[in-house]
Amino acid sequence: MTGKRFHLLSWLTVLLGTVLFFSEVSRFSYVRAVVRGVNTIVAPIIKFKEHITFELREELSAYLYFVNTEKENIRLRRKLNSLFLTEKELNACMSELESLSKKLKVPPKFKRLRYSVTRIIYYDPSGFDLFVIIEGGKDKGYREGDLVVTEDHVVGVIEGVLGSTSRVVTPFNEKFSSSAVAGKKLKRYIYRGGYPLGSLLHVNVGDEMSVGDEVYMVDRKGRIPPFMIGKVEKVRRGKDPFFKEVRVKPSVDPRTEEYVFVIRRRY
Amino acid sequence: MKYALVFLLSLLLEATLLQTLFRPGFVAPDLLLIVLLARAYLLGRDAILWAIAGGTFLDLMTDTVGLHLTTEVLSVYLFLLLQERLLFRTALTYILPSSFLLLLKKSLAYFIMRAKFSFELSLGTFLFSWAFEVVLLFLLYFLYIRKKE
Repeated sequence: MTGKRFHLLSWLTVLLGTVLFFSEVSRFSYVRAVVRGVNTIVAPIIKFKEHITFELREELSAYLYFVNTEKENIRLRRKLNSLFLTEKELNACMSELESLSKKLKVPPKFKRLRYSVTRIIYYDPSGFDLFVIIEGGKDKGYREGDLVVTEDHVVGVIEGVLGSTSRVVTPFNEKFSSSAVAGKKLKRYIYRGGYPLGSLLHVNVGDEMSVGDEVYMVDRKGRIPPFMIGKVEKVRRGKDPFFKEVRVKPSVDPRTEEYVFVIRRRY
Repeated sequence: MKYALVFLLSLLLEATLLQTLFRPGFVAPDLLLIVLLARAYLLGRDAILWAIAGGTFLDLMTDTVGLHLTTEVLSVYLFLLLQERLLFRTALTYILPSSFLLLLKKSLAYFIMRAKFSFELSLGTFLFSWAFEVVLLFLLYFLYIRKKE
């Protein structure tokens, strides 16, 4: 290629390319047809590549899932071992306590709780979290009134027992009511459920009660340890001049719980 | 014939694999330009015709009519001008101008696209792509061009 022709061809091509790009010539129908025609050559290759990429991504995510599961298994196994250890320590403490009680001739005030672990299988579809359904019913020997808790929170009380499931009313439900203590003094009140806030009934005007006080459910017979219901959200003067209106925000979020304990009321 | 096959293969790889792996597409390692620069280094000015064909086909395949035609031809043209003025033919006289032109081509494509579209471009991807091209240049020179000379 001679010098002049080479330079001219190069510059003209560069100029043509720039004009073609900025003039949006590719939008014209006949240019579009050419582009589409050429694209048919590469389309199968692109499709094949997309297919391979998709498959690879699937395999990779499955692999990562298994790796994560393995890690989670190891973590849970460690936790389980530490829990076994804690259980042994607890048993040792209990036997020590019993022997001490015998020596001091003090009858042990509490009995060991009878409980079982189960899981929540259904949530209230209305969004108000008024109830949950747990696995196990008559087959496991659950009864109405059994308490359902997490490690430290009240999830609810069993309201209805079916063959293999039970319905649990939560502290958001108006049907839920229980004996409760709150504030600095261990005076007992009645907690009644409600959405979004429950309430403490019959709190005298003179009783000390402030926002943020924790409200615990207490067993009348003192056999079940106190479990937290929630925290005091509002304290104001009620319609009745003798009582305060105390609103309590339940601390449990049933949707975040999966495994729960069912504490039997009967021994 | 052999070069035509390599040219076609690099064109297809560029359009189907590289330009879909890198986003935006123009930032992908330019395999076609590397092949064109090798051709220009070995055979001289005739490579400009290959650059015109390559740029046109790549434009049609990637639906960016004009962009690759401009940048590929300009890069090969400037490379040829530089090569004709250099007295010696060593690894450096091939790799240095090629690396510079690949960077220039990428930057030019960026500015041309920027003038028309709005998009996000990561500097890391840009530099990674360029570094990948330089590695390819080295490999091509020491595995192929050096034996041909």
